[in-house]
Amino acid sequence: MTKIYQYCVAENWGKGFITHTNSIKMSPKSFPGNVWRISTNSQYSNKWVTAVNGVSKTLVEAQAIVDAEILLQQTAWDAIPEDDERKIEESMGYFPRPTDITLEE
Amino acid sequence: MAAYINIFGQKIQYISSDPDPVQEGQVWYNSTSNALKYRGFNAVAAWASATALPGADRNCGYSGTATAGLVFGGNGGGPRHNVTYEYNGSSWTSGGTMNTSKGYITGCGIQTASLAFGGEGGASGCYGTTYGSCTTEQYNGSSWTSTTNAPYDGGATNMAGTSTSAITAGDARGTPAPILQGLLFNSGSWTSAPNMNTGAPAYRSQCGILGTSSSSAIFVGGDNGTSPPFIANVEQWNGSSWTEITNINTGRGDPGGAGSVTAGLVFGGKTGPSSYTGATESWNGSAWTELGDLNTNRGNSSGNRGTSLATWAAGGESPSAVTTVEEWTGAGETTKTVATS
Repeated sequence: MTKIYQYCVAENWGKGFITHTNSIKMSPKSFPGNVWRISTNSQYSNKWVTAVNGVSKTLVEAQAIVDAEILLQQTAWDAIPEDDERKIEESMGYFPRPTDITLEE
Repeated sequence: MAAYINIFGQKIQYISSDPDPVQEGQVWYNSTSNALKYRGFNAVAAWASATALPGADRNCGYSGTATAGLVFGGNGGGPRHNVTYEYNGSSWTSGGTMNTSKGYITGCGIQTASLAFGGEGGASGCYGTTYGSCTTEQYNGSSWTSTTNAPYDGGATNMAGTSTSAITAGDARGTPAPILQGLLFNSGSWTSAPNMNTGAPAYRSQCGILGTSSSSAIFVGGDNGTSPPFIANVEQWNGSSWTEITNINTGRGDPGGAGSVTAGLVFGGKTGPSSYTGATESWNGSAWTELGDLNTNRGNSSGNRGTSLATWAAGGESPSAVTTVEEWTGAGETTKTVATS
């Protein structure tokens, strides 16, 4: 099966991290844990990973990082008292419990 | 080296301000900003990363343009607050403090003249409703001033216009609940306007907004409190009535919006209880076209600021609040500055 995406971990520093051209050529998408999914585009994508001081990850490695970060977020959410407005769906302070994410190959 | 006049047959204009109107291919030197500029065509339509917000935030109010923007209020997962940030296209600085701390606030106008309305500052609103507020504030570029309270509480409602003339609709709260009731703000006075058509039974909150006039705006998508709550419906306001127009392709709540009723953009949003999209769609006055996604899927990242060619998405939730900011550059004519040494 041909891989469509590759993954890396890199910290978004803001302006210049992803340029408009990067977006067009790699369709980057962020995930929890500073995981970035970019299209497999050999030299172009690899150069970007290097340029942003990223660390390439396999799908399994990237999934493990995302899972660990979401678990942290879920644990934090679960620890919120039930009567806190962040857990009351009708409240405007509400935010939902983070759900698991499955990365695509 | 060949001179410009020998290539093009004309001298470069030497003028104190940018020409208006301007034509594609036109070149000039702006003596005020000491910059050589030209009108080019940008073929790239995409999002790029930009300077992050000073703190993670969501459910803020927004106004301004791509290079002179304003973000105010919000509840970034913690207490609702009254902080304002100004954006100059490259960095964020603190602005004046709002008089009331609120989240889910709606705003319109420009950086130096904005209006903020609705949202929630606590469990009860001005009229005893749940999670709404009638308070209204105006920003003058440095400080917020409270102005006339609205006749209803605004929940997570929607607004377009300027600091002195605005239309709001979709989440009016009172007794009995007016829900879709429109309200016009004009120089300090509130008057009733027609209801939106779609959004009941609960409300029509957090639409994407296109248009910066109280007499011409489009409210896109939103949350109507049912299951699934996120809708693709689009309604256009012409100053006297609401008309349903072409639905967006991806129904969503809490999208961002930018531009006008003839050249607009809607982006991001919530598509499920804990799922978010980065989908971006452009509006040309008659149809929606899908363009490149946000790099970080999220909702609650924008009101209407900027144009279909240049805007930004700041903060938002996915589902926790984020600091992420992205800048949009659309395909079309744009003025560029030539780097000189």
